[in-house]
Amino acid sequence: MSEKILEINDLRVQFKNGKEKIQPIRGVNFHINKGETLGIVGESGCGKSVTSLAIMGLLPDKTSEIASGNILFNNQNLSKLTEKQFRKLRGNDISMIFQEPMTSLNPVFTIGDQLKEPLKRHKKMSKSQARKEIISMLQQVGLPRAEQIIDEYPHQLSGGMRQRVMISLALLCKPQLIIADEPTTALDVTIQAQILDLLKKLKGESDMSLMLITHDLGVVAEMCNRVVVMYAGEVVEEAEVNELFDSPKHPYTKGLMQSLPSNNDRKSKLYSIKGQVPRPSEITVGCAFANRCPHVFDRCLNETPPSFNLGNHISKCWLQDSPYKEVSHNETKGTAIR
Amino acid sequence: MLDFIIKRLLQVILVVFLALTAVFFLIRLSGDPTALFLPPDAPREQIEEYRELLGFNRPMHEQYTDFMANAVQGDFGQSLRSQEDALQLVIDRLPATFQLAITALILSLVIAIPLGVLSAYKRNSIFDRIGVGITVLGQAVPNFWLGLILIFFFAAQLKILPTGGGGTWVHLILPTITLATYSIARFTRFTRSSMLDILRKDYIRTAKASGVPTIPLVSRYALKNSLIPIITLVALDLGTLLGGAVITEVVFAWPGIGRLLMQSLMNRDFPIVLAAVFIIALIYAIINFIADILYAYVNPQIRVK
Repeated sequence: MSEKILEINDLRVQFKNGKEKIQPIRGVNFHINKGETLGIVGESGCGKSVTSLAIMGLLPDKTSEIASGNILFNNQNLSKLTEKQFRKLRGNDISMIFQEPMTSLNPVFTIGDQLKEPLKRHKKMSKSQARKEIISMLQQVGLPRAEQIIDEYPHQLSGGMRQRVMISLALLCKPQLIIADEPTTALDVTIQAQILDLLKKLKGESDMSLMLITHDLGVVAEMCNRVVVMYAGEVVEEAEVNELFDSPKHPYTKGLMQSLPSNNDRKSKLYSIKGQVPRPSEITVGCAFANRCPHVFDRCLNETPPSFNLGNHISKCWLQDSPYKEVSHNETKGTAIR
Repeated sequence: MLDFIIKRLLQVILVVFLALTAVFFLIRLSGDPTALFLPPDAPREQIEEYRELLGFNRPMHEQYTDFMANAVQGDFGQSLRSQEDALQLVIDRLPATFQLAITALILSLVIAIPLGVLSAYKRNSIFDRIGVGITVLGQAVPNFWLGLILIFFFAAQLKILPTGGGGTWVHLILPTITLATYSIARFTRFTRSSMLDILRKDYIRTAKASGVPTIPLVSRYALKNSLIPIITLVALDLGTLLGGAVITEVVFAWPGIGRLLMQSLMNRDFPIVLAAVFIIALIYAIINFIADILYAYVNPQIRVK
């Protein structure tokens, strides 16, 4: 088995609002291997972004905290780092591409001013050296006229160009891990494909690892080696990408796959999973997905399912417990036909 | 850019013209000035003679067109009281007013901006709460009252500072504090809320994610963004400080335009009032014009190509 670059063990993040405490992340486990692309999927509000902010140490410090668990990056426990130690990692060893390229760049500084920060902070480069480096990086991410763009302001660039700038910002210090939080969600479809191609190409050129957060299963199929499915602050399923698409185990994953519109079948109504992700405060006992699950039975309502390990395939669902396994198999078939 | 400047200069002229016109007519509602310059028992003929001499017996529109025709050439007439050139009298008072306004402005910026930034950065802390409390108080306290209280303590009781007058930097202390209090409160609150808003922006998170430490993050990345709305506020306040420090100047007998304007109004010395209004309106308009240019400097999105 290859070397793990990031390992998250039983991570719990807690948000405080006055006396009220909620846990949007409730015991998350997963890891990323060196050179691998890990997809994290799930609906809005299931904790994908909070997990990534926790890895970056960018959770709002007054209202949130890591309640338990740890995040190991190259065997270094990130949750124990001081702010100063963490700063040395950010933008250097781990960097992040955010969802919103339109608002993620500072409107009153030039592109060059903003991109030179990681080089200045981490690599102690001189101005002219940094400038050269930035121009070459802007060219690498496919921006035309990089020499001019470096002196331009964000409002002079289109959304796709800004996301390319964000990608070059993340790549400047050649990090070992890049977290891309829905990097294409805010962009036009044609630009989305270009940005994904670019990420794939850049990834292929080095041995960095990529954690790709998305709610688009198409993107996952295209980009990832392994997939983690999150629901209501938990990992509900984890598998190799082909394995996951061939035989999804968790009813939530199946629901997500069924929700993909198919090309051949234009007349039928689009499928959606009924209901919505429960708020962290609404989760009490049992399986968090129980109220939306087509296979729900008594045990789901009373006991929280553990993560069943089926040999490189993890599913947090009672259907994987041996007595129910047969039932689940038949029932799944039934749902697929229906 | 040239288009922009020409357009704004035309606006400056319009503002000054409208201010003069309004004041010209309004001031005449305050009554006939001749009565103030002659003894109460002066014979009717003498009053009439005096009115004719000063031109107050002519129809209003004639007086107005005459005044404007002269004003355009920089002639605002002579003081009714001292017979000196009205505009010159006002201009002579400018340095004192400028001195007071600029020191008050610098004092308020030097105190308010760091205070506002710190307050925003440490929001909801004890420091922030005390800060907000004090600024509310600072905005609520009337100028003249604060001025009188300061005189009472520092001049009358402790006898360490003069009660009023101008000339040395010691005279500057109390009026500066009085004037700056309101601006400090206003700027602090504004900087705080503007900064709070900016600190929540995505691009601040981006900078943090690139490894920028807190101090440059706040003082460089966030501050430049939050200064944009503050520039407008400073321009408006500087205009008020330069033209309208009337009450403070009167309380401290500061020899500036505000006090001259006040005295001239009491005396119905129309030419001086109009000359002062002219200068104040001009300063106000020019400062706003400069603010617009500064704006373009900090905010590239409105920079005209």
